[in-house]
Amino acid sequence: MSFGFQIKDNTVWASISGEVDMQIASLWREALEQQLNSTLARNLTFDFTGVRFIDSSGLGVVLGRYKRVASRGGRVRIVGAGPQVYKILQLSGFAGLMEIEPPAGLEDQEAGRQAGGRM
Amino acid sequence: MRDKAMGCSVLAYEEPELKYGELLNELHLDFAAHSENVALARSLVAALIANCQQAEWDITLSALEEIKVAVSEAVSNAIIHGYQGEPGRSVHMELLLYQYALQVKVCDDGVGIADVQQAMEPEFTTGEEHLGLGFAFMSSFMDDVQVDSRLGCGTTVTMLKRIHQ
Repeated sequence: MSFGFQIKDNTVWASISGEVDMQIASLWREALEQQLNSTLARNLTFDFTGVRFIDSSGLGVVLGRYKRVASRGGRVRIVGAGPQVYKILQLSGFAGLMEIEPPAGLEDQEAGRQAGGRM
Repeated sequence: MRDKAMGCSVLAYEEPELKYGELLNELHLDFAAHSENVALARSLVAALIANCQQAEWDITLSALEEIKVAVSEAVSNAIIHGYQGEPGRSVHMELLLYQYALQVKVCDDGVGIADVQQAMEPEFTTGEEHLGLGFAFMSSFMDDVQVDSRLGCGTTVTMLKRIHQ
């Protein structure tokens, strides 16, 4: 498990890899808060490319940061989620709050759903 | 644990071997209520299934991931909500692998849940920044979820995942 940060284009890029559960949640939350405290960048992008597993403890950290960033007019995105993690994100209802990039291969289905309403 | 618990889950699991086929393997484990043991619990359930030689349990990666999320949520709840992070407590987990179903039981003897119905609503949460999503994931990913809880005595979550016969 590891996480890191980069700032570009007015956006904090927060990448994390491995299994995101309660063991890492509080450490990651603190690190994210520190990053957000020390930057003027408005937006936040989570890079989930390396995430093999996430549960509600990990999603709680994402939601908390969403609330903070959105309350200041910033935009939150999640990119790089694989099919399993994407499914969890869909179930959590986050799609109504933030932009979530579908995994490769699901993009066509997503486009179909948007064009044709319900599948 | 079960004797102390309230609720009606016992009836639902009467003579499960008739409905779920032969009991192939079982695991009973007490582990410290530490956050690193959430991953251990997930790994154990995955290993139990992976080591099962029966063709029915050659399940998809997606189904396996769903079971892992459900186990993760149940164990996290025991540690975070049941024991409120108190050190020196332990979580009891039982895995019963039948021919056509997996039963997972996660027990704590922590603070208990005052209102189980309310706790199982997706929006409900008692701690800061926890989504109340834990029970929603358990219910979505498993075929049956029973929660028996009594204030001051603890909570038992019993989940069932069926596979195609």
